[in-house]
Amino acid sequence: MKPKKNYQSLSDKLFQLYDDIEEGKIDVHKAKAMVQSASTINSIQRAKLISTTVTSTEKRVKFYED
Amino acid sequence: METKFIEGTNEQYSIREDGAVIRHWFIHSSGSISNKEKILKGYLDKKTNTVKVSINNKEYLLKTLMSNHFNIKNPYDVDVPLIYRDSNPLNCSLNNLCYRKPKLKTALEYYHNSNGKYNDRMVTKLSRSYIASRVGIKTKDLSEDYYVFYKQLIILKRKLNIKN
Repeated sequence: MKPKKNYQSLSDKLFQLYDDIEEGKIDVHKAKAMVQSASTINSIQRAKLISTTVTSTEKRVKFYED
Repeated sequence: METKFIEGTNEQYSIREDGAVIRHWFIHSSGSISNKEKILKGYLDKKTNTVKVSINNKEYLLKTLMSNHFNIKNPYDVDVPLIYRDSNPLNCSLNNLCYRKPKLKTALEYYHNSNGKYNDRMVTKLSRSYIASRVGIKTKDLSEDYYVFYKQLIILKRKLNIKN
């Protein structure tokens, strides 16, 4: 799963992934790998979000691009 | 009002269905036996928020005594705590005690960790405040987009854990 430009598209991917798991369309190992990728993106975004919390109020809710 | 003798006390103590523990007799220091009845005063243990009573120098949880002597059975297939209907630990009457209802079945699945044990600490309601605390920011600073994304990520992780 490549990093998307906003949370909206990432969330859509995750919703789709959930449906695929429910319907058995996707292999569990592949799904785990995708969730792991999303989790890594989340960790990076979270770190950036927290690091700017004390300095900026405007950028807190935005998606930070690398 | 129904009363049951407390086991192992040689009918010295009994417990009433309103939660009162009664001492029926006791031996004076002189050796004579007094048959004067007395209702024992329990005390509230603030750490556990439960009422305890002292019987023959041994402490008992009042709600456990009630459960054992009046056969309050756990109707659920998981281990859930005995609670007070009115949230008042001082009211240990039979009508006020019940087992806590487990969460919805889907949520119940999340309660079981890999060992199959009941995990009471699992948060099932993924509220905005919970997600914000997980991220480490204030709730008002959590955007709707990020909240939905993080929430969905947690749901997916739990889903995959169950699949495994």
